[in-house]
Amino acid sequence: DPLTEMYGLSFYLQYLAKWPEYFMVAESPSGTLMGYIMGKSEGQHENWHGHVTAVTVGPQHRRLGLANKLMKGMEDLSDAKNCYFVDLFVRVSNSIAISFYNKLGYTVYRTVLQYYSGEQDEDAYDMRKALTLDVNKKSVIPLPSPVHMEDLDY
Amino acid sequence: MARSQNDTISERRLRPIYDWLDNGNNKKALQEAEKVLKKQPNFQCCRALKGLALLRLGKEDEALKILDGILTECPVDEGALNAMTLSYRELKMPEKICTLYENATKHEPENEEFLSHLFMSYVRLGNLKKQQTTAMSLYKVKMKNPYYFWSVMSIVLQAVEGDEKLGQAVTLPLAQKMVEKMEKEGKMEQEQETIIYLLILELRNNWKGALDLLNGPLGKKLENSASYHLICLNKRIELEGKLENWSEVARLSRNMLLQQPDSWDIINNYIQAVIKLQEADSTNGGEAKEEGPYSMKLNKVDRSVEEAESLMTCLSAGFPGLRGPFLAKLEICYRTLEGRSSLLQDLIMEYIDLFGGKPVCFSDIKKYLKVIPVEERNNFILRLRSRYPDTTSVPSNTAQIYREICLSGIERFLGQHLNLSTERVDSMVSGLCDRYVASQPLVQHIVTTELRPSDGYLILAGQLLWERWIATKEKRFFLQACSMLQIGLIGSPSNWQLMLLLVRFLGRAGAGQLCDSVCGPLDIKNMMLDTLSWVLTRPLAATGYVDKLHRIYCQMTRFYLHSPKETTEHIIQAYKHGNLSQICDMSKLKRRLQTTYLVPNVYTEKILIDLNFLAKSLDEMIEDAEFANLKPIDWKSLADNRDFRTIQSFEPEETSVPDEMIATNFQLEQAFVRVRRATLSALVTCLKLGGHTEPSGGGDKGAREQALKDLKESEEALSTWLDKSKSLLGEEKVLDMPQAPYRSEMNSLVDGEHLAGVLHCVKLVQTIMLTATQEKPGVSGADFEPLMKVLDNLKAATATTTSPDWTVVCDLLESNKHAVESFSFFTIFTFSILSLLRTGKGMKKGKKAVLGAKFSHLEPAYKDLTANIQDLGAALHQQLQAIYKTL
Repeated sequence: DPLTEMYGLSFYLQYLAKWPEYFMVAESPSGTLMGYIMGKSEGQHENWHGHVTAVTVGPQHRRLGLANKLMKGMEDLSDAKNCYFVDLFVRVSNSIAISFYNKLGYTVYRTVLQYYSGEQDEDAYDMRKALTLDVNKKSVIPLPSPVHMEDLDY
Repeated sequence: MARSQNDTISERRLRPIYDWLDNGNNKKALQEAEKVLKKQPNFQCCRALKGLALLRLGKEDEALKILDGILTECPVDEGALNAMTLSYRELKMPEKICTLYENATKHEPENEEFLSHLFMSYVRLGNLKKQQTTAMSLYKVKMKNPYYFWSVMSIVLQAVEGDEKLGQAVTLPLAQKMVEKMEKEGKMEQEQETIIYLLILELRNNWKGALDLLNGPLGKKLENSASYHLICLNKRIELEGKLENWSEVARLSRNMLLQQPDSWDIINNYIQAVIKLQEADSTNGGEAKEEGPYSMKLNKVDRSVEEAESLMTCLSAGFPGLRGPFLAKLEICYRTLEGRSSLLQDLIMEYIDLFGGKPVCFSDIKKYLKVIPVEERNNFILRLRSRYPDTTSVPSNTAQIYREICLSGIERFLGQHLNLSTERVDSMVSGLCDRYVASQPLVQHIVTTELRPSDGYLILAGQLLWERWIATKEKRFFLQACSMLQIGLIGSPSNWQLMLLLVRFLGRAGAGQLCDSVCGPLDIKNMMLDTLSWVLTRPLAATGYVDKLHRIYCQMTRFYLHSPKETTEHIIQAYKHGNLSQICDMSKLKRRLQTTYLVPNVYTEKILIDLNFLAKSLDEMIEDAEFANLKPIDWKSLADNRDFRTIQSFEPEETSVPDEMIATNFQLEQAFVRVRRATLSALVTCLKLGGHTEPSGGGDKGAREQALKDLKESEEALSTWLDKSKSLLGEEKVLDMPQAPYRSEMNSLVDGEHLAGVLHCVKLVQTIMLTATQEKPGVSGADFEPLMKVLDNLKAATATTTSPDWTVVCDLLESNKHAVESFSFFTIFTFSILSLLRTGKGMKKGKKAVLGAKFSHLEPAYKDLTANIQDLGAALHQQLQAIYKTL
């Protein structure tokens, strides 16, 4: 699946070493991997949040609501860790994923310019969903203008 | 005061060097360092930074000289230590980092920083015992829990990775005692500490102890944490199961299912417990059953299959759309199958009604289809087809497409595609293709990054065509399949199932280069190199597409070299973050990457390509031989990580790939690596001999003895594994199917007498060497005979290797590739033979060699040999040109 970023071993191991609780996999009854989600929690004070680094479900196991479940697990965990919001980055061209996140309650908070590098660089949307602690949903108020990658704290 | 002022000045002087290094301007860094060293020639940190700069400029020898010099001075300066650690890491000399910090801690045994670095340096080496003691020393210096548990973890790993008996008798009890001490003293702090405690008890099979821990205060604390809540709930059920407290397993798992009815592990635990309870009740006379409708209240204990079925009915009503409860019903029926076969079939039908429109349906029910008795299968399919008629009507939505493919898959799986006539296959394939075409309007909108549901028609048709092609040898099946799959890929360029099937077709027909271009978008990298590269490398190797193969082998060599090291760095991170429970898994992964048989395989083949195909001159070959790093291989621990389940299959048992077949194939793969490694080792020895040896047995005696020893080892390995392979090949069952392993390459190596040829060469070189020093009676022309015979046979074989049958082209090309390789091997051996026979020092270009007095009688034999090899070369050249024309 070309839209699923294929990370090197090191990338996965880094998450396992630092945020093992933010790594969840779904296995099918026959033992094959159906999908996984990985992420982390970071930031300070009102920026303390859960971040979804990758979520993917194998084509054979789509249309089963699996990604919803994985995302829900991540949100519950972040909620329990007193995070203010959960966020994620998505290619602006990946309309299927964007509408999926929309349905789950994520909205575009800001555009990050040239976040994805490749033959042609591509912008990313930083999408967010407020959690219980952010009563007034302050964390998801969209920024008026796009930001550059260098200006990202996280 | 004066001292600190000095320090500040030094620091200021170093700053620009650090900046240049950070910016990657190593040349400037070096110049700056030299400038500072003029003023302070003994400035350790600056010298270390100079070493680092040199190293990064590619001057490794010079760098190492400086660094090793500082190492003997036992530095304790933090800056110097850091720079040296970095340098030795980049030089891949982790053992020197240990020495560095061993020295530093001798000087300052209470320095927490140094000890911590020393611990990490032992992790890099995997020296668990030293890890253990260093962590304890750390704890003595600073009573911090992490240090104590680093030590505990190092002990646990000794048990996990070492001898099991010793682990159970000594190491694990020690680890347990250490943790218990902390528990008694009320010093347990982190959640991970409890997790490790639990792990130790489980490793000791102390289920009761583990359960008590989980139910005690530490366990409760763990359960209340966000990160470990679910783990605790699952673990409790697992442990109750180990203790066979079935009513507790039934109660707990049922409670969880009421919340999460889709959780398969829990469903399995629940079903197992209920069946055990029912069995126990039936022997005890049974418990009174509850009357009335099934109750969904918490904490109920279900004791009968009926109740379990009722629970699943209620759950599926309460959570519509979930597969879990339906699959659970199938699983219950499967486990209590006696007399319930028709119920199972009804449940499968029901499952198809509900989930047939999802791509996952077939793999969900495969296990249950398998147990439908053979005599009932036809009837089952008739019933299925009366429900979903196999009409020519076009599907009207994607769910229908998925269902149709699922039904055809079931038919194939239940044996309906076996022994079909060509006419029948033709009509089925055209039916599937028609469906594919007709369903295109439904899938046109799907973006190219997604898979199209209709691709499944082509996969099924491809599998049917494969069988016909192999059975009839008619190339029209091959051509039809390839064009069909290629068309499929135009609409659905991300579908790797289409790609893999196409690659198998092309590879089977010997089209190596096309395999490579089809595989391009698959982008095989990272872990896939380990699990899936076999699909591509074998056709490339067989067809002699060595450039590409060499690139893949280099990529794989890099991956196998770096990944275990990277993994170690992350193990260090896990220690630092206190996530100890990840360390076992990471170590396992590291071991998996280190023990894959592909490590020696890929390296050996890479060097053989260097020698046979890429080296442009004899000097380059000798250079390759000098650099070849033939470390001893731990043959017993080699593992097979290839994945044969990636290629989708609807195969019935008759044509599915059994584990034993993969096991035999793996044995042959290992035998292949053994003989190739022995061949390479002999070639390397001979090239070195030819490059250096003084004529007629002179020269370095030690080197000569080593060469003789190496050649003897190669000879023994070759002859042992040649024999073993012959018997293994006798047992090899080849399943000519796209999802099965390729027929072992040992076949063409053994059939073509290539190994026998190498073996004769190795023997001949030894005989000549021993004659030179008169340890053996003189070598005679007769010693050349066996090799001459092999050459004759190889020459004869080249005359007969073309065929219009495309199913054999790959094998033909492969045996040709081996013949070309053998030609190259014989040339190298002959080179070393000549170097041993000739007189005069050095082999000068263009100068005719004269044989030494001891060997002058061999001149005719030697001439015959070289003439014969030249003839073989000419015959091969002609042969390859002929093949090129036919293709």
